[in-house]
Amino acid sequence: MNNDDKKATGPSDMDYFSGMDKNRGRLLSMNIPVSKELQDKTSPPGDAAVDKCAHTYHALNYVPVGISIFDKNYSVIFWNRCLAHWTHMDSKKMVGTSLKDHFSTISSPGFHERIQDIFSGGPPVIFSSQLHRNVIPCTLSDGTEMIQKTVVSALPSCDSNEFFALMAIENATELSKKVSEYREMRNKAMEEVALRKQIEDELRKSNESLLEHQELKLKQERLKVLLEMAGATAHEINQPLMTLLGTIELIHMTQELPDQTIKHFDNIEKSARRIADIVSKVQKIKQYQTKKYLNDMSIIDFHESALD
Amino acid sequence: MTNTASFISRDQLEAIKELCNIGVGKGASVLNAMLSTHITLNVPHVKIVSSRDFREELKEFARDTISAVELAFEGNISGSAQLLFPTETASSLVSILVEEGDELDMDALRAGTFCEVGNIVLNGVMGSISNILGISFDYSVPAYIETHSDNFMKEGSMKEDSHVLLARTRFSIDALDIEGDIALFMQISAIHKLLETIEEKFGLNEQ
Repeated sequence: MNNDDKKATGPSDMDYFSGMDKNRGRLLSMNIPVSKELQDKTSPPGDAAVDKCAHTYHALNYVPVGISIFDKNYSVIFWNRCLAHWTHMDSKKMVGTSLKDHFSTISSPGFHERIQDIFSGGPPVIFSSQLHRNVIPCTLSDGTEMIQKTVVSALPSCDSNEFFALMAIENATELSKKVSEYREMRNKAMEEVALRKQIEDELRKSNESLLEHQELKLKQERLKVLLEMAGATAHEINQPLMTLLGTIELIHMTQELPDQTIKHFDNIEKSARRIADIVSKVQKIKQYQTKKYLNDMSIIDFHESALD
Repeated sequence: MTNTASFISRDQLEAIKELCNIGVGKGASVLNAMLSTHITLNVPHVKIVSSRDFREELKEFARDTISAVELAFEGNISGSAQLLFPTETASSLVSILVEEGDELDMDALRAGTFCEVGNIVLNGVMGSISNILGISFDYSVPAYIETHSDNFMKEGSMKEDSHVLLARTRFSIDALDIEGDIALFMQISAIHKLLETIEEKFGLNEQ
């Protein structure tokens, strides 16, 4: 690859390795072992250490996750391509410098105190996107801030006496956006369901009220017809009934009638008075009450209907 | 409720309970520094049960789905530590911590938040065991698990002689009291190693 090609395709892998040159002195003090074979290949001594480090973590340049490896002093040992792309800070600038000098979030107690056990081989530490938003602030192409999920794990150094921190950052912006959209849709759907339920309840109540009103109206109409009918019937029956009862009274005053005939007239009078009693009840009707009759029919209950 | 395994003495259980309480205490102080709500964590009792008894107990603890954060570890003693909650309770916990409505699903973001809470609590407990007993572990990255309690650690997924060190943990957050389980899944040989180490450190006797 010539220099022009390199310009066209962006920095090569070796550019990332050579980013360590200016801070080589610091890297050499990080206990990264340098094999004799590698030392012989490079000159001056120390280049091999830098190359070894770069080679060891080289594959991490090809993962779609931001990766940084740093020691207990927060001095950057490795800064992968993804992170360089997100932060616009390339490996040359970052390796050998302190993360604290670049990102204030690293110095916050919430980060600093939680990862202390990492340097003695402690368990991984998670920084969720909801509680932290981001650990390494990055601005996206649309000007918004990247939301990140970060996991910091203990990484044994090559001589295994010391542990580095391997910080893996996932871009959770799209996920957060999708979840927010989903929540918005869900809330909207829930609101619509609640509104529909409210409308259905109101409609049901209104329908019930309408039915009650119709029932009441029907009852009132029936009662009106009944009262008119009862009044007319009572009036019409009362006239001949009075004549009948009067005539029976006159017959009773007559002395020459045989006993058997008087008995018959007593029965006629009893029935006539019963009719008078029924007519009296009909005149007192105030409500519409029915009772069961033959063949599943209902008839007006004069007694109940005449009660208050 | 199932009984604890017969091979462990009351003193050993008390020592484990103390280790757990130190661990969750550390976890609570991290959470309190991070969040606006005040959290108190304590472990009222611990026991060691067989994997079969654990499954039965879990079905009583969570009748529907369960949410767990798993931290697997290897070393002289291998196994996995888990913080378990009924999903509904886990969701309520997240809602309080991030001050969100409590009718939300356990979506990926909320699962991530629960994972961080579990990570903090489990790191406290494992850190306490590791530091006080002088045992070092290699850890995997914590993972979130959500499944029906009938399917959790289903028969066959654990080795026959697996046992569970179960520490019921009470989370008191403002006016809310919720309970979760910290479960350490280990094979019986690993449990014996752990008890031996406790015995050495605290001068206790295994039964």
